[in-house]
Amino acid sequence: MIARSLLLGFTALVLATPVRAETLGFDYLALVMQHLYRWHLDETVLIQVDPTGTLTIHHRDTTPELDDTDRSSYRELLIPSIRYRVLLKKADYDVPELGITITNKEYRIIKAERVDDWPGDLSGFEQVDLDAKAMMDYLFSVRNQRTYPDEALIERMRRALREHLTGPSSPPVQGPQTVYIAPLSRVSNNLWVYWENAGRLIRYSSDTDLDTEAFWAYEKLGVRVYDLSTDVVISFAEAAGSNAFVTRDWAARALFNCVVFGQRLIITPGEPVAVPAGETTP
Amino acid sequence: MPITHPRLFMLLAFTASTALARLPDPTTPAGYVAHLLVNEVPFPGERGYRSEQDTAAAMEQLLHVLDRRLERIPTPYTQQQIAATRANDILDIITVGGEKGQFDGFYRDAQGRPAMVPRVTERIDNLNRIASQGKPGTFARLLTHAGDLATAYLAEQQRPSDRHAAVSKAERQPATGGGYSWMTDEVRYHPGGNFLRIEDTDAGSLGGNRFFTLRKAPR
Repeated sequence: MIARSLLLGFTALVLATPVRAETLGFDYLALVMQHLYRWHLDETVLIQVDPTGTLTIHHRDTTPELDDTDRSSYRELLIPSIRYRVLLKKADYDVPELGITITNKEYRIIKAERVDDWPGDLSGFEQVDLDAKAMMDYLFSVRNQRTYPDEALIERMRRALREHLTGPSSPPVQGPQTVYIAPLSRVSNNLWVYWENAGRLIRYSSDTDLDTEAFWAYEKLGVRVYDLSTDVVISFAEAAGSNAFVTRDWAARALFNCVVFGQRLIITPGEPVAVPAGETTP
Repeated sequence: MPITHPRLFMLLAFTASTALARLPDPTTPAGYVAHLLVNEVPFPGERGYRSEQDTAAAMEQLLHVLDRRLERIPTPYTQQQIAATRANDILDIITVGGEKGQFDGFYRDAQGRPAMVPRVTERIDNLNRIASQGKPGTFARLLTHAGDLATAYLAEQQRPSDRHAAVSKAERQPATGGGYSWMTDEVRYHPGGNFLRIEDTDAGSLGGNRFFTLRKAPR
């Protein structure tokens, strides 16, 4: 509740208004920061923010050349005080082969990265100046906030996971399987799951929003599985040139978000769907 | 009406399967290369998809990486340093290191045959299925492009134009030019060693992948 009131009150804390403020609302920028806080930032990053100063965010349209019928738009967002660059996409295009339209209600994060090379000229960007202390207070207040999929989405997840657990990519399984679904991000279309029995992280991702029919048309395409017993290294330098690994730091963060913040489900492959009361409490 | 004539049934089955198969047979070298090209790029609706042109360009640059690791090793590097093997067969370049080798999910099985993990074949089967629905569109064209690229390369040594050939600087350091590696386009993914990230302005980001060239003077 506190977090929500902080978020809703955020608009009042803005010091300067960009020309096209309606394109990226201030509440939206707070959600982006919350996503970065949970999935990207570490202890070395936020320490750089002067809590008595201004948190400036620059953004501009970066829509590339698209397919003829593609109405999507892209934006680049720069946050100099934490040296982060975020790329956003608001998808809007048809997939005639499947008879669906890929859409996003708002811009979704398609990439977030810390950058060393910073553009010297930011004149092509719109600028939003936020109160840094208010943002830090907001991030602190929502650090444990968990937004879980609704019942319909959970049901679809159960079906998808049951199918995945017994699919050709999975090891043989017997009996009930424990999985943890990480909290949803309102600005990302990635859904992370930790399959405890197999020690695997599973990422469902798509260009379209998770709660749309279109997402489930792609559910089998957008799955990436990381076997934590074989796919983790401290540094990519250990296997230079290989694209098979993830770093331990990254895996640890994903595990934290799934196990500590996640929603626990018990799935028994081959059995009809049933949701025992209380089972989904974290 | 049920099909009772076995030869007619076989003919129909063959027709159906060729309509579905827009990629060469994966047991052939061209088919295996084409499957790798498809596996590494996004199709419409998938994370990282930008446009048909972008995905097609990514496939072309992926092929260049394979070709450079096979035949265009810049001085003073050795093939072993860049490709983690010494080989004169593109299939060895792809499968080196086994299932968790240089190209995740592509390896040689116990009999030494090029193989793919099930998730690769599952995805490509799905892409083929989607491509076969309705009028041929982006999915079909991209699958065909992968097959054409691999076939032309293996049959006639035809290489598409190389967007990375002229790269002379990357990560503010002199570079050899040409792509020698790729990874998912996120900063946390870097191949390490002497690889340098090719910048966006040099078409370093294509099809959800980041391409890497080499430091001109190895460390």
